[in-house]
Amino acid sequence: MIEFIKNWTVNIVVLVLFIVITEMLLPRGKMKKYANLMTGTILVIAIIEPVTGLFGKAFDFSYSQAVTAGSIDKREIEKASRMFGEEQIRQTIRLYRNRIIEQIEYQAREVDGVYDAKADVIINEDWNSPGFGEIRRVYIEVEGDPDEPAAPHNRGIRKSGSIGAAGDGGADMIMIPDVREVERIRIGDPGSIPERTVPDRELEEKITERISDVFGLNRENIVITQFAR
Amino acid sequence: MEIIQIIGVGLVSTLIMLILRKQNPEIAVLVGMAAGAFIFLLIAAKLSAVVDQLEEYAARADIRPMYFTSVLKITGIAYIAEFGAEICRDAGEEAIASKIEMAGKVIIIAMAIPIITSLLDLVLKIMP
Repeated sequence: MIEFIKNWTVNIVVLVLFIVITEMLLPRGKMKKYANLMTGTILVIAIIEPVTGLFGKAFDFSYSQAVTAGSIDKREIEKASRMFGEEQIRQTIRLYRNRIIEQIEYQAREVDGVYDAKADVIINEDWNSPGFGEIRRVYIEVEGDPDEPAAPHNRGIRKSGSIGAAGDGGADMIMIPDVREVERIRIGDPGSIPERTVPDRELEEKITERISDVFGLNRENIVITQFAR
Repeated sequence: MEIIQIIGVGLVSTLIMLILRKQNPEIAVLVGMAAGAFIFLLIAAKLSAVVDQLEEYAARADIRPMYFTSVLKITGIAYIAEFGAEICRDAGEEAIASKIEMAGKVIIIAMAIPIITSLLDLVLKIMP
C-alpha cells in the first residue's frame, strides 16, 4: 500500500512538473486555454486511473483512448470520402492507413516484453463497398525486450548420446561420439538480416488479444513475426 | 550566451523589416518568417534536451508515455498554429490568421475528444 501511494505521488508530481514546464512554453495567444483543457484532463486521469486498480476496477486509459481515436479517424475518412474526389480519397486513405499503423505499433509497444514494433495493414480501399476503411489484415514485426526472459525452447538435439539395446552396455551397444549441435544457417549478409528468435507464444497471444480488442479484428487476421534485438 | 545571439537576430531582423516594410513589404514578411525559424532552431536543441530529460524522469517514475506524448503534441500544435497566425498578422492578413487559429483549435479539440471520453468512461466505470 505504501509502495502504491509512493508511486502514485511520484507520478502526479512528475506529471505536474511536466505540465507546468509545457505551459511555460505555450504561446500567450488564444491557444493556451485549449491546451490547458487538455493538460488538465490528462492530469485528472493520471490522478484517478491508479485508484481504479486499487478497487479492482482497473481502467486502461490508452486502450480507451485508442478505441475512441480509431472511431473518430474512421468517421473522418467516411466524411472525407463523401466530400472529396478520387485523388483526395486516395490521399485520405494513405493518411488513415498511416494513422492505423502508428496506433497498432503504439498498442503493440504497450504490451509487456515488447521493445519495438513495426506494423503494416491491408485495409478495404474500395469506397463503394459498405466496409470501406475496414482493416482486413495486420502484420506486426515485434522486437522482444532483451530484459525479459526468453521463451524456453527445445531444439530436439542431444549434445551426446548412445544408442543401444536394453541392458548394461554389452557387446550390442553402439557407441556414437559426441554429436555437434547444428549451428544456425544464415544466407546473405548477416548484418542486413534481423535475427529471428524462437517465437514466444505467450507474448504473441498478448499482442494478438490487445490488437484484436482495440481494433475489433478477427484473431486470424493478425500475423505476428518476432525478432531478437 | 545564446540569449545574446537570439536578441541580436531579433533586433537585426526588426530593423530590416522596418526598412523594407515601406518599399518592399513582401520581403519584410519573409525576413520575419526567417527570423522566427532561425530563433526556433537556436533553441530547438536546448528544448529537445529538456524534453528528453523529463521523459527520462517519467520513465524512471513509471509514468505512461501516453500522457507525455499527448501534452507534447498539444504544445507543438498550439505553438505552430500561433506562429503561423502571427506571421499572417504581421503581413496584415488578420482573416487568414484567425482561420489558422481556428484550425489549430479544431485539431486540439479533435485530439482532446478521445482523452475526454476516456475520462468519462473512467468515471462511469468507477460509479457503483
